[in-house]
This record gives sequence, structure tokens and C-alpha cells, in this order.
Amino acid sequence: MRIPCPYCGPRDAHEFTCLGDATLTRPDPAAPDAASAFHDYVYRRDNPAGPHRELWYHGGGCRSWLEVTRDTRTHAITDARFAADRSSAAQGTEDRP
Amino acid sequence: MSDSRLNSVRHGRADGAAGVRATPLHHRALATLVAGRGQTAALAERIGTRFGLCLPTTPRRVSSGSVAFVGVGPGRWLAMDETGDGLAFETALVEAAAGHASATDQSDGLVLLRLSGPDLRRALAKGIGIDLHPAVFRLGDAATTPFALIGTTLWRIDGGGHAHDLTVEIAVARSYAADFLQALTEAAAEFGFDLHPTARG
Ligand SMILES: [Zn+2]
Repeated sequence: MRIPCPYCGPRDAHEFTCLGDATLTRPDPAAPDAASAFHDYVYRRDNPAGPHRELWYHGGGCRSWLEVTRDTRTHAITDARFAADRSSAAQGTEDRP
Repeated sequence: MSDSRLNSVRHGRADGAAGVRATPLHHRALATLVAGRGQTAALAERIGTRFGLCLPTTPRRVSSGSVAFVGVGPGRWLAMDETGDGLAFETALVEAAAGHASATDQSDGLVLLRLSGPDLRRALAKGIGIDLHPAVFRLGDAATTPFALIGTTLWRIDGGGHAHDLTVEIAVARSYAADFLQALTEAAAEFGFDLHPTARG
């Protein structure tokens, strides 16, 4: 499997580490149901057959976190972008670290 | 160059010219330069003014005089000065960056080698997962990628030979240099490998 890193270009998956689901949102630790919310956040995962957005770290290359869209049935990758771009877009800032 | 070849030690195939050559590059100041969050554009302007070059936003090497910058990641560069002292170069980078980036001397942290020879690409292909064909990996192109699972950053330079000859400079963490050279020696043995003895450092 090759991952098209937006900085480095296509690289073998061995250069990367997978962190899994990229769509999770960290719960509010001050919320009354924080314990059960964190249990789900840490342990509960869907197991989709099809497109899956997931985080990959390019430790063997540019050392960037990527958000990769991968089809779990075929390993076909339809998108790979800097995870920092996603979070900075959410925060309304421009650059990445 | 002729001096280093005279002093080289042959490994592997003994007859004929060496297919792969390795020469250490001592006395070059090396430093990492890392832009602060949101500071890349401002940093590029400062570095451009100070060193007279355009800081690359892709995995490329750009140079001006004795100074060069190699893109190793978004907002991150490996900077080098062929004439400089490491600490002085770090200081020059810190002053040029003026708060837009951090700079750290790596002159002792990294080992730098020049690799050349008609069989270099075939030897590197045994341990590296990217296409180094000269039509794809062009002059000035750089890559950060493992060789034999050892992290490296390499960039293609003009070795003065034929247009299709591959000559690269490669940086390896000093603590991995012995393992890197052992892996390279084994990969290059069948082609005849001239290794400058001081490269074992
Ligand atoms: Zn990368």
C-alpha cells in the first residue's frame, strides 16, 4: 500500500504509523457524563466496510500528521491531506505548525 | 576528488572501476530550521533577505554561495554552510529568523556523505523505497526516507559526469552512521564499492 503524502509524494505504508479514526472529537472532561464519553472516545470504534477517514503519521519522511481517506475493502486511497490544515481550518487560523 | 579515491578502500568486487563511491563531507556546518506556527511566510522573507535565496516549500535543495537549504517537511529545513562553523551558523540562522523560527546546530549530530558512481541507483534501490531515476529525481530534488530502515535525507547534486549519472549527498544521524555504512557496503559490494576510510568516522 502506498500513501500519497502531500509533502513527500507517494511513499510505502511502512514509512507511516496509523492512529485510526480521524473523525473522533475529544469529549469535554468537565461534562457530567465525561467518564462514559471518554470510554466511548477511547474504546468504541465503528468497523466500516468502505471509505474511512484515518490519521497517519509520516515518521519515516516529513514527520507530518496526515488525514487519509482509505477504502477499507480495497485499500484504495482517495484523499490525503495535512491534519494540521483540518484543525487550523476549524480554529480559523492559517498556517500549520 | 582524486585524493579521496586514491585513499579509498575497495569493498566487494575487486576488478574494474568502482560502481559506487562514498566520500565523507567533513567541515560543513549543519542546522535544522523550524518555522514557528504561522510564521513560514515571514521566515522565508527574512531568510531570503539574509542569504539571497528562496526557501523551498517542497522537498528541494536551494543554495546561494556556500549556504544551502533542503526542505525536509512543512515549515522545516536542513540548512548547511560549506564554510561555516556550526555554532556560528546556528547563530546566523537565529538572528536571520528573528523570532520566526528555531535553529539547532546539527553539525555533530549528522554525518554527511557524497555518494556517486554508475551503479549508485541500483545499490540504493536495495534499501530505499523511492524512484531515484534521473528523469524523476532531478537535480536539486530532495527526499527524507529510510535506507535499510535507517532514516536519511538525501538530495541530488551535479556530480559533473553524464546527465544520467546519479550523485547525491546524504545525511544520516551520527549514531546510525556505522549501521548505514554497513548496509550500503553490502548493497554496493557486487558493483565494487570504494569507501573513503574516514567515512567510518
Ligand atoms: Zn511526508
